[in-house]
Amino acid sequence: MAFPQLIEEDIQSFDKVLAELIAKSEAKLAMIVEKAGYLIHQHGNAAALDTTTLATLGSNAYNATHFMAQLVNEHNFASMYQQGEAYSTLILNIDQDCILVVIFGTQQTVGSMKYYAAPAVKKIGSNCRMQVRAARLRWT
Amino acid sequence: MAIINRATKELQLKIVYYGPAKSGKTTNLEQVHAHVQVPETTAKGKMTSLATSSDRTLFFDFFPLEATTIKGFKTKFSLFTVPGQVIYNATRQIVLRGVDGIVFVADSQYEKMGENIETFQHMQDNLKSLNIAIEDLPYVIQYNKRDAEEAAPVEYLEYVLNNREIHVPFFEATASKCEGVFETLNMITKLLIHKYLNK
Repeated sequence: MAFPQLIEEDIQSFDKVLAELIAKSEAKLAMIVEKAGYLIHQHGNAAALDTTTLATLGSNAYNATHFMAQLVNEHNFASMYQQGEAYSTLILNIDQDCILVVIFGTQQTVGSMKYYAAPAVKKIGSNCRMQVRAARLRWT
Repeated sequence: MAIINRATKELQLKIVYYGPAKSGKTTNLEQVHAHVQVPETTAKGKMTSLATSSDRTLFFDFFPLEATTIKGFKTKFSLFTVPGQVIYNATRQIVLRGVDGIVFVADSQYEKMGENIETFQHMQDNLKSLNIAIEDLPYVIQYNKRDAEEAAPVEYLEYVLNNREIHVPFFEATASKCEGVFETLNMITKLLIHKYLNK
């Protein structure tokens, strides 16, 4: 039976990419979220934030908006943005399984976030992608 | 689909409560949230409900629950409900994405039998659109509202809703009194843990 498994190297790769994104963009928090709603990895300042709920709501909001776009024959859907007064949220598609959720202060612009997030999405998608490993589980 | 995180030693599983409108899906989750015994307060997350102004589920109810560590792996369950009303079928499909196990909450009342059957059929269709066959997915059936005057006998409900090649576990429940709620949850978690730990 094959199903997604994450190993230490995956998490290290995720962390490296997210740390770089946070450092360059000055975003508050970046999360890699599976589209079923699971929080896979986060980096940044998550103090006072319920990141589990945030991840679930983010993935479902993204899936719902994607579905909505398809209903109006809009097939090029790769990101969504929520503009706040203190913090805003940018959600970007990584691949068919994952999204990147970035929370940033309104002193930063969504354009700059997209600029810094684009290479991060590419790296996560190509190098650090969650893999479906055919290996059977070995419980130790 | 379940995710195994070997770095954090976690197994994440998604359970969806599915059923016709007003059959008691949200009540099930509320009772679990109110009465579940956890060793640490952090093991039980906040319950989030995206509901209409009249308290009907609009998108989903959600709450994360951390279970015991088995073979060194922490098991994390994400419990979801779908909106029962037929107009929200697209939303139900979205919530079903990545589902690992289902609790089908049927309304025991005779007058709701048509809705039970129709909702079960919709569920199969929605799963099919996600390339999931019901036969491959662990699920249990809960016959809720057993205290209703017009409740049909369990044998009848079994004949109508659980008469397939694979006979799945079923439970009688009165979710509003927390009867049968934990028996149902225990069984679906048991089926899932068995599936993922023994494969």
